[in-house]
Amino acid sequence: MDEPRPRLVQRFSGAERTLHWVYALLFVILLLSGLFLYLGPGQNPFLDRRELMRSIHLDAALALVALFLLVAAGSPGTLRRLRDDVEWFDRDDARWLLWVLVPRRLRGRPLPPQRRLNAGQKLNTVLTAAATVGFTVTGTLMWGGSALPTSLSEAADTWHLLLTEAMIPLVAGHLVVALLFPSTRGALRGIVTGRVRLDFARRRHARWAETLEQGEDTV
Amino acid sequence: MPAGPEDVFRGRPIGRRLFIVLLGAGAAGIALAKHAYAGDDATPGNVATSVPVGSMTPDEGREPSEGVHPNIVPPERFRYYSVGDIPDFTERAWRLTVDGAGLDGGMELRLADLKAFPNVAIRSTFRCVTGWRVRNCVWRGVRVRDIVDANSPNAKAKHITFYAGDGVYTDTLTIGQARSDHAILAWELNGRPLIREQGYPVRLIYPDMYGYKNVKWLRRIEVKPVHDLGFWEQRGWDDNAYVYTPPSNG
Repeated sequence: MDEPRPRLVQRFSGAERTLHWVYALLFVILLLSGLFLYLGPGQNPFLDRRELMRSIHLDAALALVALFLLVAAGSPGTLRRLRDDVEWFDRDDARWLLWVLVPRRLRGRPLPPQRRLNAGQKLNTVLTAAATVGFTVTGTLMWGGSALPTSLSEAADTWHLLLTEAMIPLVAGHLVVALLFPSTRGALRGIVTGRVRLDFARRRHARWAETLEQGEDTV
Repeated sequence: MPAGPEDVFRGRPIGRRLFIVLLGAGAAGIALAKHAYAGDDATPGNVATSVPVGSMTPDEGREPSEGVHPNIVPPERFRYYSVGDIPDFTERAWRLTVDGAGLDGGMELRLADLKAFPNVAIRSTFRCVTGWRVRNCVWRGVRVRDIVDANSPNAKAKHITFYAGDGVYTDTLTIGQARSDHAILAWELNGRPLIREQGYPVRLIYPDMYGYKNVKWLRRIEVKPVHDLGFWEQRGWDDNAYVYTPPSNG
């Protein structure tokens, strides 16, 4: 006899998924084009395409700003909901962060209940948003270049690079958790299709699942 | 005021505060870095400062940079780039040819001949277009204009092409740029002879512009009426490599 089809629930809207994936694509383009502007001879196969790399980097940066403006204009509820999702941290969020840091064999308690975004996803969202603003401000100052005091463009340059160095482990960690951990497969499905299995929601996002079952949450 | 049941359930509103704190920390970081770099502000007036010749002892330029980056060779914190093989000149074999249609004269200089011109020393920041920089470099050498003037420049002297000893790399300056107080042929950095990777025995230093204009292992200076594009400029890089808004007569 066929098993009953698992019930799916909507976790991310189309606008949220568009924001996530276009941001991810632009981030990769910015990272690679930035790397090819940064590396010197012997390390960089695109040194003789410096102007092209600079154009790609600037265009991708403009596209990133445009992405947020478009989402804000076309789907204002998306950014508002994201803001509300990351705003509140409670005791379960603190427990969740401790829980994921403890080695698996030492975890006595079950996973602390979480809302639609768990504590790690909230932190990741806040850090990424702050870094995006930081990249935009420092990048604009660098772009202003020779028209600004050298000390300001050099300070911006230093922080642009430091932000990049800080974001690489954050993004790498995000990718490892999303792609390599079987326990997060449901979350990956959610950001691809928008929907997750209800049993996944109950297991990993119990607080959110409760609101779904009470009919309080719609995407 | 004590928190109500709803507040206890929702926790604390931390997200926006954390975001604002991070932005504040970033702004403070930029302000601190700007303050730290304030002495470097590159303008036509202070891109380089003259220092007494010989004032830098070999240990003064040292910075504790070991282990900072695999490409940074202590003590000068440079990353060394080369588009060809690094030449291995000896002082005995090296010669600098000065020629071109813009000169009525011309000469071939040994290192000792070069050092016999009036020596100057400048303190400046070396800036690479890829973003790294080395502050407080004290370069000792002779002014490019002194070498040009010693060879009777004529009305065709509009541009100078500098040729590296690797046989590949070249770059150019206008005669106006090359006449700057800051344009020197340097053989010493921070009280020490240049190392091979740094351009031994002699390199061009023009700190008004990014490092790719500062040709290493100089072998030839050609003064001419026409403008050539340098190695990277032929590949699309800016011919105007000023690190600040260039002077209108540049």
